[in-house]
Amino acid sequence: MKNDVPWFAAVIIAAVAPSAHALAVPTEAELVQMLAVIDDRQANTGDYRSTAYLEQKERGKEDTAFEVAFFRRDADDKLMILFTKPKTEAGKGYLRLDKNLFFYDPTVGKWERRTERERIGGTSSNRQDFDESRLAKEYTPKYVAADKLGKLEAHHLALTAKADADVAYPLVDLWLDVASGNVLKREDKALSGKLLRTTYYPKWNKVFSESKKADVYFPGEIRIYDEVEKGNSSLIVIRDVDLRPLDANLFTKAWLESKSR
Amino acid sequence: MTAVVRLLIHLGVQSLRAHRTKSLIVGGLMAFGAFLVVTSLAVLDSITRATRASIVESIAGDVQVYAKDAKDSLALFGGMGFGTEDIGEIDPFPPVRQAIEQLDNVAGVVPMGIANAAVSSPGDLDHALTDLRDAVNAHDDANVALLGERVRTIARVLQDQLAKQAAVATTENNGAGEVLTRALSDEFWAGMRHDPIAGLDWLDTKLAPLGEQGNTFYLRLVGTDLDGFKHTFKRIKIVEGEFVPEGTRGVLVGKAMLDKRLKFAVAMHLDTVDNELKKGNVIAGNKTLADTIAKAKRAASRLAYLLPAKDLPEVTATIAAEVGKPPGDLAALLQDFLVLDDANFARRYRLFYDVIAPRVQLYPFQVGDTITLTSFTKSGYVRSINVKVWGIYVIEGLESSDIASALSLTDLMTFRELYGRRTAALDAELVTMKQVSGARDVAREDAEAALFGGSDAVEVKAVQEAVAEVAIDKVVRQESFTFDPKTARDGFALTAAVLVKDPARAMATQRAIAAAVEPLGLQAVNWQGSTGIVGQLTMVVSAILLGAIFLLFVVTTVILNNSLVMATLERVAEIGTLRAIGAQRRFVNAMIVFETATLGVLAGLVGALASVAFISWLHRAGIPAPADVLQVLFGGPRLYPTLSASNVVAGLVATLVVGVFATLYPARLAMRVQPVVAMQGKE
Repeated sequence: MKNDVPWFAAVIIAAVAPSAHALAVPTEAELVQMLAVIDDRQANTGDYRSTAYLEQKERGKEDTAFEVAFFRRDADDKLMILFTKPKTEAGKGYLRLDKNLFFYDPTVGKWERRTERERIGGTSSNRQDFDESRLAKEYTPKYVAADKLGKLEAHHLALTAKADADVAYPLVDLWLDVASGNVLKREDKALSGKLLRTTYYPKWNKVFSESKKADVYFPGEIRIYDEVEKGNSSLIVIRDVDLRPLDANLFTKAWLESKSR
Repeated sequence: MTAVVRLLIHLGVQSLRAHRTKSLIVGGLMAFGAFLVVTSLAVLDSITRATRASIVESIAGDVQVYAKDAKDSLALFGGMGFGTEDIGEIDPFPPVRQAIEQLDNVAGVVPMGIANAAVSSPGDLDHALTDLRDAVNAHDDANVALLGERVRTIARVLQDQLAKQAAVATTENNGAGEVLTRALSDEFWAGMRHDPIAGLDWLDTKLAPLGEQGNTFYLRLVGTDLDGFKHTFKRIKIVEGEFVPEGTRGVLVGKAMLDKRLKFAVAMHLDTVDNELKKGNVIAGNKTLADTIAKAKRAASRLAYLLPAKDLPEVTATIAAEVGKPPGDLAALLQDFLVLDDANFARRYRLFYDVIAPRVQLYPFQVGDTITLTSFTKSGYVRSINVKVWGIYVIEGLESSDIASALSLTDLMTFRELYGRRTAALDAELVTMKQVSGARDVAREDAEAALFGGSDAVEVKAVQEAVAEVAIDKVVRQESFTFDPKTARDGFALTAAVLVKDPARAMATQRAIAAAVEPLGLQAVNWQGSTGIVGQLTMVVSAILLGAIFLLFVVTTVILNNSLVMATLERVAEIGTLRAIGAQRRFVNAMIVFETATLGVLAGLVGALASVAFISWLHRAGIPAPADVLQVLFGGPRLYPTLSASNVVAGLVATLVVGVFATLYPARLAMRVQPVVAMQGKE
């Protein structure tokens, strides 16, 4: 089931990926403050619901794609992913309750428990993908240079993990859009400095949250390129986002089972 | 000319008699060489025949036919790499069957496909909770009570483990202690009676993560026309259950593989010890057996909750009586029970199988169970299907070899689903999905220019859309377990296994098959080339034996050569005299070679006769196969070698060739002897 996992990770990235305001003065103190703001802006206290198109290319294998409906409730750490397309995948889904992740396959009518370790092992996703953004808490930022990505002006930041931080990537490079403050590009690196994966955020969605009384930013498109297994890449396109409260019954095994009956 | 030959014979026989000691030494060496060559060839031939019987007649066939443009080589038993090999397809199969069946010496053609599937087995706690949920849903109060008790027993074991961990390390348990205390409390189980669903959800999300993870094991499946297979490969016997009925989905699993890889750990380790003792080993001082027993002890804690609650008093009393202690905590008693030595093993092993084994599930599934097979299909997607286990098979003569029963058999329809071809319908659906999403392909190299080069500002879209009620197309649930056999036979397969009538003509038949299927884009390989590591292993063993025979040749030649040189030097005077009375150099050369050839024939016959006697004895006694892999090569637990006329002829020829070859140098020395030197030497 490893094939399913990157999508799960990717969709969560879509939900939690950082956004940022324009950095007026790129001093170190302000950078720390900016990371705190990024973390705060994406913490959506209410419910989240979206539909997404997910595509994965792996060298030597057929391309695969899915359409999923994604539901999340941060208040009590619940998450539901329902696969809707293609037909062969429709009805499969993940349900996360507390620290439990369950996978359901309607063709055999079975639930399976997946551990966090299992779903991460052997895939391009990592534990950090499943957590909320804690950039300010976990990393020390350093301004590298003003940079340009295509036609866009960007601040290039180098983040180093703090000694006590439990992070998947000890070194991260971020490119923030000077005009909007959104993250445009992220490079995850090993301690040696070896580049492991590159992620682009070319489109963003802005959604007004009633519970937060403010706009919340979510990426509209995410492209992840595996830099170790060259040729492997993932694409996530988020089509609809809705932050209105969800029915509590939605985060149950019975709800997922009912969708394929 | 005749006179010369007669003289050579006369001189040769006289010389052999005159140099009796030398003749005996050289002849003995040659006889020993002949004995070794004939014996080695007989054993090698017997191994090849036995391996052929165990592999070819059980599953592989003499010849396997598959796509000529396959990316990987066919490896029925698995190759050196991981994952499923890409060996192309035969589509449709019937024309290939017809092309092969019309050839001479073909006994049967069977379609085959290979798929690797994972089978997930939940952990004990998850298993118990699933059973408990089923019992709750079925309002089976009696079972709910029993299963509730099983869950509490597991919680108790987990609590003990937690206490032990706390005693040796100061790790945080993240609330596990509280969860276990609640799961063991009477209040919780009283609450379960009022609201079982809420209780089950709590157990599922709070208690279950504390239990051990389940296991995933892998089955290498050969999908085939099971009915045709049964009639072609006759060494496969069902020892439990039955053969999958025609037109029915199902799987057959090898017994030895189940016993050695998937059996309940305590039983599996005790079986290992029992097998070693049967071979004459003892527990005392044997570190490997001590480690095996230690593993059995570690695995025994599960018995405390795997045994049905109603049986615990009886089992506890029996175990307590055996270890001489009062009945009490079963887990502690089992630790004493598994303190095994040469004196108590046989008795306790029998007790385990009489009292404990019948009350627990020894395998992850039983005959009649439906298991879920999951595979990564060719389409790129994961596919799971439910299949019934109809029976357990063994390969006659190889009952205890897990290599020989490594493959599980299934029907063609199940195989095709697990193989999961990419269909045109799926491709079309994916194209539509991509169009609707508005996604486009962006090459890695110019991603930045393509993604950020179009506009001066990054796109930020304000969205506030209500998502329509999520609906999905009707999911096709697997409900039918039968199919039309004709549909199965007419579809595609990956290979065709061909069994021949006369194995002696297998090579010629393989060539005929290759010629017949070549126009269809297919190739034909023999069983050694189609069985992956098993075929390679037989070739390696053959190469080692042949290498040993060659080495023997070289050593024998050198020793013979030395002996003959010494013998020739002793005869300088004799040869000089012969030369003095007119013998030509060529005559001397022929004389020396003739002498050795005569000796070679005589010694070869003696060696061959000794070999015949030895092989006859081996044929009755058998050569034991101590390792599993040798069982496959030997075609069973013992190899019973036979001798053929060709082995004897080959041995005689080899002895003669080695003898003559070793004589060439001494004969050359003899030719050089000058009569005058010989005379001087004599003086």
